[in-house]
Amino acid sequence: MNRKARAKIVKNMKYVLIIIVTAVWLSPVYWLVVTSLKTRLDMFAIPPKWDFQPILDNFVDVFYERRYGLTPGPTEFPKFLLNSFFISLSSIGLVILIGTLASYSFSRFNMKGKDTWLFFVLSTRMLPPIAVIIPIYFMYQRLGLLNNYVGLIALYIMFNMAFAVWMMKGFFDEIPRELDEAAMVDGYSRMGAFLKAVLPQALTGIAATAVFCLIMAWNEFLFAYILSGFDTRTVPVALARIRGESGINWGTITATEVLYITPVIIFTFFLQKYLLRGITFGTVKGK
Amino acid sequence: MTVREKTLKWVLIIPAIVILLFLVIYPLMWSLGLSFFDYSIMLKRPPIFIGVKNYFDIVNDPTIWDNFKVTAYFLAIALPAEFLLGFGIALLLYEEFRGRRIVLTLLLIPMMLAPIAVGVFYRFILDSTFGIFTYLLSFIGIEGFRWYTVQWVIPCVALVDIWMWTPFMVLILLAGLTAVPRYLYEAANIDRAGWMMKFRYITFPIMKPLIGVAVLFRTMDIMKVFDTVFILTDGGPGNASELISFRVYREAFQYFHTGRATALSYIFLVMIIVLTNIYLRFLTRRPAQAAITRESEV
Amino acid sequence: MARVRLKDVTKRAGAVCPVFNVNLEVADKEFLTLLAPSGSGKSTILRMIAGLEVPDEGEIYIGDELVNDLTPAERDTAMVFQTYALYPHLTVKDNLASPLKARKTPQNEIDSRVRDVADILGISNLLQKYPTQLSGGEMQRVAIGRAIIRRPRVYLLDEPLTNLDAKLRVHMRAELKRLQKELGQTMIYATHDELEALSMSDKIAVMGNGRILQYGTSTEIFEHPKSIFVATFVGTPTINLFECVLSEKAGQTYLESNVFKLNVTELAELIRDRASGSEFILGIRPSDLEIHTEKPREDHIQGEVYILEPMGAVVVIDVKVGEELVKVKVPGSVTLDLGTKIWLTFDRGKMHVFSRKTKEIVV
Repeated sequence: MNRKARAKIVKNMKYVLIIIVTAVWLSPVYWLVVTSLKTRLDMFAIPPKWDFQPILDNFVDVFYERRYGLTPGPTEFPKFLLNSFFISLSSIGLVILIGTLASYSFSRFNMKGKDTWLFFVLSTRMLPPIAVIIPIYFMYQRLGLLNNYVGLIALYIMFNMAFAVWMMKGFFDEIPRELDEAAMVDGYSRMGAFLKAVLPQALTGIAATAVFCLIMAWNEFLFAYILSGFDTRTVPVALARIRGESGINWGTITATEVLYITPVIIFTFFLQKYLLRGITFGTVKGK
Repeated sequence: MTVREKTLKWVLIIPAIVILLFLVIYPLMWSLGLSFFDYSIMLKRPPIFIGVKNYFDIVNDPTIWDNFKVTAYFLAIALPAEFLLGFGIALLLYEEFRGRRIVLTLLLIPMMLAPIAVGVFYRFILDSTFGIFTYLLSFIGIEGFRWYTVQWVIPCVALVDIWMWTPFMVLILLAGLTAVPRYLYEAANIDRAGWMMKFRYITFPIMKPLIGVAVLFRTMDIMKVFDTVFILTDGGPGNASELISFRVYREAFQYFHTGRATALSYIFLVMIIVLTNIYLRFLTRRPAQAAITRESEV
Repeated sequence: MARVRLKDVTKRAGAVCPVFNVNLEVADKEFLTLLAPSGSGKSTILRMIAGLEVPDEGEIYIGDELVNDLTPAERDTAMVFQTYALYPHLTVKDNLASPLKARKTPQNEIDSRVRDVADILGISNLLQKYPTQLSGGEMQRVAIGRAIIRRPRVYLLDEPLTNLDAKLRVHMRAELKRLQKELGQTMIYATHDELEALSMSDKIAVMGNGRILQYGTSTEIFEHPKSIFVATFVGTPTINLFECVLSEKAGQTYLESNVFKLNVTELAELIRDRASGSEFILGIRPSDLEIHTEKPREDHIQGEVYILEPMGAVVVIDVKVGEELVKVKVPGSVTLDLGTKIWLTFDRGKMHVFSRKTKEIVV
């Protein structure tokens, strides 16, 4: 049984290789977490310290500053975090609302120029943000929407709309039209049929789309950087302010990052199946 | 379709379309208009119409060509690396094994992180004094590696992109690989075909559309990279890592050549639109694509 | 309880299967079947009656009301879909209750009606289950239950039995017929299965390519098909067709083919009146042919036994006549050796003469 033995060796080698690749690939994340738990001394030690005493001071520092020479007080971070939450959640809530209706219509009805509209909606996803930001900056300036929640939320709605509509249309397409029709014959109006028969079926898909859009809003940087001010600043913008600074407080920064990416990682685990689909615009459907 | 439904279908789409009109079409039209003017937010005078001078200046500006070169260089490193690595890992994960799901989910993580956060942290990793990357390189004989140099800055930025987006390639290519019907391989085995022949005549032809999709999509995305460059290199040293997207930013928000910036952003936009069109056409019209979609299971 | 009338209904645009100039009348309490191969538009007609599609031309009446502009909800019809279209996220009980809930019926009435319907259909034990937990037959009964719970004016059934296995289909055929008679409702049924049509309906409308080709009772359709299409579509095994030519000799008129010569003098005038040309197609059903082991006196067709297909109660014999195979249906007790020479005769009254040109019946 030489072939069998050989196959088994190959299989084991594969396993080892897979483990190595996965470990290597995730090592930056691991290193990030580890760094956030180190003291300043340990952090910069050369050779890098593997074996150290973990501390939570950095995380405390994120929320509560011990400023040298000044009285200690809470940092601005909670405000930034709240801003991130607020802007992401409100914009996505609205995107889902508007997007669900639009994608249902695209799924069920034919209209003049339907393909063109869909093409148009989808192509907005492909826009480079930088091309849009310049005129929008001026627009907002004139309308007084700079450093303004409404302005940012509206923009986030815009850049998530295409994706949401496209994803949800795919989900609606999978629900047989006959369900709508059965409901209408039962006595519901078209919208009644939507609410009672179709929507309950589409909920998982809509939830997945929502989370995906949430992640994109959560991570967004450029629009927030240009259009927000101190009051509306989100965490990514706060992070970016280390640029050009000397003496970066790596402890606080890494701790901030760990805090910020944790929800995303958690959601990634829940969404695994749908992420594949979303990333490839529904061309590839995961099991 | 009753009369009521005729209006309903439009009513449902209108909010979405209106938002896109206001925040995409209108700004873009405005931007196009402004690109024909000489305007700077700094100078306290109104814009002056100068026709296509902005575009002319851009085309004649050697530094702009540098930006194109930098972008091309970046693309030339990142795309093949992502593809080859992605393919390799996809092959590795091709056969079912326990924990495959977990591995795939773990590999998803880099894609889901905020590019800005990743950029911030790679600064730490790549630091020439205390960065772990530099330290590890010393093991293979490269002492005192300094990443923020004209020579290494683009490869390092590419490294970040590769780290984040290779998993994307892995997922797509894996889906493509699993979509190839097994019986084709079995028939080939009976005919005693070697793995290279199997690849050339079975795997590759069937996967071509999907590979096309993946490559196009990544190309578009790579051209739009901004956050990472912003935080990692600020376009430097000098303009050694100034991608086109970053240059637009600089023109608009650092040098305040607003008119010029909009012109450049439009050139950039047109490039992306052309690519997008090719991409979307690829997406929606390939019958092989449909076959793969039907059979894809990851 | 109402009659349904379609007047010159046409739908072209946007319909998967268009229909043209459909005129149909279904009497109150009648069971009408739309019989047609797939894609002929029978679903389209049902959907137009239900209000799910709007005709381009023509009028649809339910009762005496013109319903063209009414929404499905307003038309008071019920439909059983081929795929059942049960709500997967609701229990059987809630599925049944759906039409009543939609019309805001009080809860206690909903409960009692659900109980009644479940009893009638024998699904009381399934009320708490979800559609994904049911078998095909059970799902179908729930779909029927959802239709009858409301006592609508008209029932529309779109190939409801197609997805069931054979034995269940036969059983449900009888069940549906019984149900219809008990409920005393108008039922319009669409199928491509002639057996279903023949066994269940009061009237059948045979369709092809979006048009109604023939309308009548099962007997009328079977025994007096108006066109070759109808004749071949209805009847298993398929009707035997022979190409022949009208000829005259010595004052006698014959229908001649290369395998037989029939004296049709008494029909000659009729034939000439109703059709032009001399090319015809003669049709005889396998069940109308008789087998003789000795040469008979009357007009006959000669052939030899080629294949025997025993089917339990009957045997279908393929007889080689000239270059073609003629199918004959005989009682199962008949046994013959392959290659035996036999002669076929038939009752003149059962023959169908079609004009070759128009494909329509002459006699």
